[in-house]
Amino acid sequence: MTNESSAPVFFSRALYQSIVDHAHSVHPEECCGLVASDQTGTPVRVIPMTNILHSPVRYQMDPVEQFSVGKSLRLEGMSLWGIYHSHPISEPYPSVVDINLAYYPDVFYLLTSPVTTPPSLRIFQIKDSKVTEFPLILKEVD
Amino acid sequence: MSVLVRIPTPLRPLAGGQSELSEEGQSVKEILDNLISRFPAMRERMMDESGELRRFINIYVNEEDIRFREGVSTPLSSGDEVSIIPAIAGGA
Ligand SMILES: [Zn+2]
Repeated sequence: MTNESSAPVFFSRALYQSIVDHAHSVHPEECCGLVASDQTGTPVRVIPMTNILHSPVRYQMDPVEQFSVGKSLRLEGMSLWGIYHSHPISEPYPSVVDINLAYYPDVFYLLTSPVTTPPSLRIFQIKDSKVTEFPLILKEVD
Repeated sequence: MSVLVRIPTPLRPLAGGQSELSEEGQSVKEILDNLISRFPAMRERMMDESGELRRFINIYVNEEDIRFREGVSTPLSSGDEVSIIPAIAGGA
């Protein structure tokens, strides 16, 4: 459930648009990808990944891409900040499957859905099966 | 013989906060066994009830997924890097 006391998370409109565009391009399959942050912890890059399940209801990142992107981020001094995926036909809230498979308690999970206009993007952390939503504030410029 | 083991962020709190450590072993299985005996809390995150590697834990030796080699029996050479990488997956 939404925790009203959670600090807002700032995210650039350009990154939001990249995620929405990725979701649109593979619709009705689920999209998935990563968000990397720079050394100040600011999210600066959206990295679209392949959903090897090519399904409208499940996703799994291509592990080979995941490994190579992880390595290049490490070499660039960047960090994994967020993990995004789409819910093509349902609201962008973590499902039971999402919660059970959330192995990364310290990153943000971003969910987008095209069922609203404009497409919504919501942001969560998932720790010990507990979902915390953060207010997301889109910035026009980086 | 020791190899470098890369610990993913979510498992670091269970491994004394370390991102990399060196571990002794001739195969991936020996490395995992030694790692778990040093850091027992890692067992539940890495292994299922029957002691098999969890389906959502990927292990790489250098650049290669061990599932495309000999699984946990994959032999290691000095200087190899073993990376533990939880899969990123979910659903709608
Ligand atoms: Zn989901």
